[in-house]
Amino acid sequence: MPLLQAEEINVTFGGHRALIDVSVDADAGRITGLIGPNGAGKTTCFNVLSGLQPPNGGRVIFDSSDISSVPAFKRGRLGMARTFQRIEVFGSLTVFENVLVAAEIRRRWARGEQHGDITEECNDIIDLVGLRSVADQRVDSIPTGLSRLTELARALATKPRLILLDEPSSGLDDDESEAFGELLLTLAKQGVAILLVEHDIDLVMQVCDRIHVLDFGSIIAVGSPAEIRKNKSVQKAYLGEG
Amino acid sequence: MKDLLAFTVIGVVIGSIYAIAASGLVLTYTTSGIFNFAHGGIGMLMAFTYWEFRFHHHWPAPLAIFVVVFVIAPALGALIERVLMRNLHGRSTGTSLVVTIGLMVMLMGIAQGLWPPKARPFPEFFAGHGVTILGIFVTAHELITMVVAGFAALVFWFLLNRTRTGVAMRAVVDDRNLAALNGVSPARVSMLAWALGASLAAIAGILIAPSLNLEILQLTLLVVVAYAAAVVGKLKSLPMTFVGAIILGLLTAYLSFSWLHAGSIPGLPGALPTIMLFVCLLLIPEERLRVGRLTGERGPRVPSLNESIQGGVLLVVVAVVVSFVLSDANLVRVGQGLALALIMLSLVVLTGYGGQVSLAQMTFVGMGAFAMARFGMGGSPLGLLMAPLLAAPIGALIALPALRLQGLYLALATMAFGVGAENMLFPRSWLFGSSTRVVPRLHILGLHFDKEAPNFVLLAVVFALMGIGVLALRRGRFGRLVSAMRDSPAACTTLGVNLTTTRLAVFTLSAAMAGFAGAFYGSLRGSAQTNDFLMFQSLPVLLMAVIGGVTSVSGALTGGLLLGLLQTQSSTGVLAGLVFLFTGAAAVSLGRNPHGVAFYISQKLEPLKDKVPWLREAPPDEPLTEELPRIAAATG
Repeated sequence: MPLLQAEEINVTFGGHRALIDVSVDADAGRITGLIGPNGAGKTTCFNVLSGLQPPNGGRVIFDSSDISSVPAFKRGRLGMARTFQRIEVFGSLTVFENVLVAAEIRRRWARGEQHGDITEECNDIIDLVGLRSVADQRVDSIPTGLSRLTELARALATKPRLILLDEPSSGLDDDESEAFGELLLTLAKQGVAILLVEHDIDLVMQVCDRIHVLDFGSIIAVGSPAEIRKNKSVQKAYLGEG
Repeated sequence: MKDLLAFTVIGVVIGSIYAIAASGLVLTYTTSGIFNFAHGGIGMLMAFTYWEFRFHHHWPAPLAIFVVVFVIAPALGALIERVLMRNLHGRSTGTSLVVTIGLMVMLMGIAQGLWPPKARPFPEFFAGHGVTILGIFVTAHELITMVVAGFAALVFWFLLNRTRTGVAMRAVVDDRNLAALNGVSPARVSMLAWALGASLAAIAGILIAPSLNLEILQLTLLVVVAYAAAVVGKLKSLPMTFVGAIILGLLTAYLSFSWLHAGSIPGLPGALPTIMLFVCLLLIPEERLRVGRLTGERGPRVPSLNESIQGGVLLVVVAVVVSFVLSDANLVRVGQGLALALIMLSLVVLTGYGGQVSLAQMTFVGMGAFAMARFGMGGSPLGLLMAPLLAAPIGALIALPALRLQGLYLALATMAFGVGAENMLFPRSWLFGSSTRVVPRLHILGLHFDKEAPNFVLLAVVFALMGIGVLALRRGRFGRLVSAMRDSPAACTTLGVNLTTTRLAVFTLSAAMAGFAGAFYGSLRGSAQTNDFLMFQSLPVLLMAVIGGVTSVSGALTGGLLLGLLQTQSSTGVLAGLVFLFTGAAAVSLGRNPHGVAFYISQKLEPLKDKVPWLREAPPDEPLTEELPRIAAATG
């Protein structure tokens, strides 16, 4: 059974059906893609999974238990972390402090566990993500791409089992993007489940094991990168009827 | 039975006035996104203006009404929108709160200046006339009130549902930018709403003035009743607001009815809106966190431990010198400023760091002063210990229902609590009662602080220690968490932070600090009574803290000394016009600027520091080294 399993999620905003019977899942140690045109409902789906948006129907199952009615902060404590499409960093803190505050938050709710040296732990994450050069700068003064990486580093500091990444590579140049892909693969190798919303289709095709395609609030295809590439309805959704 | 019917009529009449006031409040809130704390103040000022024309200059009533309701009030509303509110769009809740509270306080100051307290007869419309319906005599004034409320409801419905302007208004509520793209001018719509809102406030003020004896405080407090009614409609729905207003009116009337037959609970009518507000807060579902806000404000450089200790030592040294120079009377005056600065430190934690706004800080101060009076007999330090222990749990209890919701609701809840406490809590005989309690000065470790000079130095030492403590808190884990939470509540939640308990911890700490400061505030003055801790006294404290710079310890010191100076210079008692006018005007002009006076001074001195070598080398002067002030940010 996958680590995360969302079943038949429905979300309605006023008269608009933002998500219609959406089912997605993500395995531990795998990178799962969630792609689709703008406005397809990807971010709404993430908000439902992380508990920020109550759905009008459907279930979210994490590690074999139904967490549909679990509040967002408790989902965080279960090991679910995320980043945001519109960046939500702690702008008045430095990059290092952003990671530190997350590690400190984890230590508050995971009291029973053995903890190593917190500074060392945070520095390791900063090196892993590649933020060493800006570690002591305030986050509201660094480029967007690096802010996104800061969000990822912050998420890692809570030692998550699942990370929801919402367009993490936008704002990165080609080299940075490639390094970022490598980073995702490394994380997956460590056993983390990654659910990736991304516009950079090349990156998605490169790193994902499975891909879900969302269009107008519905899942129109699920499969391996090769299958998705060939899928007619996916091509139609991306390229239009012509 | 006939009595009951008569009281029902009275209830509907009172409810009608509340409905008129509340609908104006809802209208401006929904179209401009700014909650107008000055709504009651506008009604108050307009009622006085009406009195001036009608009873002082003996204009005919229709002319006076026309000029006030259809000319002066809308002009005032439009002016307020144009000059103050338009620039506030998109600012944090904290900023707009400070500006509208500043406006309210300023309007009160203006009214006090123009109409000094004295009896002003304000007869009802067609006094003595009326009709008998079902055996009940309904006065002409009551009939007019009900008809006006009904008419206002109809006009509203027509305006919002059947006119282009109304559609534009609703569009602006839904999405300001989208409406603008579609050819609606949000600025014009919002100006119209403020003009209309001010007219409604004026009508409510004029209708209710006869029963409140044209009294500045009571009329300004109309805003509390209005928002208690508006909360029923979650500050958005006009029909539900009308329902809320009528319920509140009926409850008020039936309460008086039950007194005819049973015993009364003192202060209950005054506290009724508070009770209603809290019940509604408990029923409102938790709000969704907003994602994608701009985060990270230009931020603080927090002084190091060394720097803050140096600043503290400097303050104490200056205080010792001053204690030798100044006379006892002047020491009390400056000491008052220090005590106020100590109170404002509690706002540095809550508002400056945490981004929440409290309008009941003086209520907690009152509890601290009471604890010192009750448990500090003979100068016992037990009083000092009990002060925060009394204020903290009450603060926690008050904040809990509001903390689940947006920042605005906490401000509303604390304001209602302040009003409730002055009506129901403080006047209790076991608390302050109707008399004055003696608050002793501290006797500790063989030291006595009965004389002014040692007490003054004590205040400086306590402020320095608390300031160092606050800055240490800011640098530590808790401070980082609070900053993170203010920058992005949504991100904190996904990291596993329970926002409610963390906010509760911040608010409780702030209440405890205010209570602790209250022990010193009370013992400096030597006595304490209910009238020292009215909700309205909390407002200059908040406003002056923001003016001084609420994000920094030096800002609290600046604000406290300024307010102390102002209070002691204006001799006409607790509500001297000068305090209100000056604080209000300053808050209105400075409230939008996030950097308080302390920061401004330090900026001016910055170039000097580079030029003068000894200044560069010198131990940092506190105002120079404080973190960059920043105004209260909204919380999600």
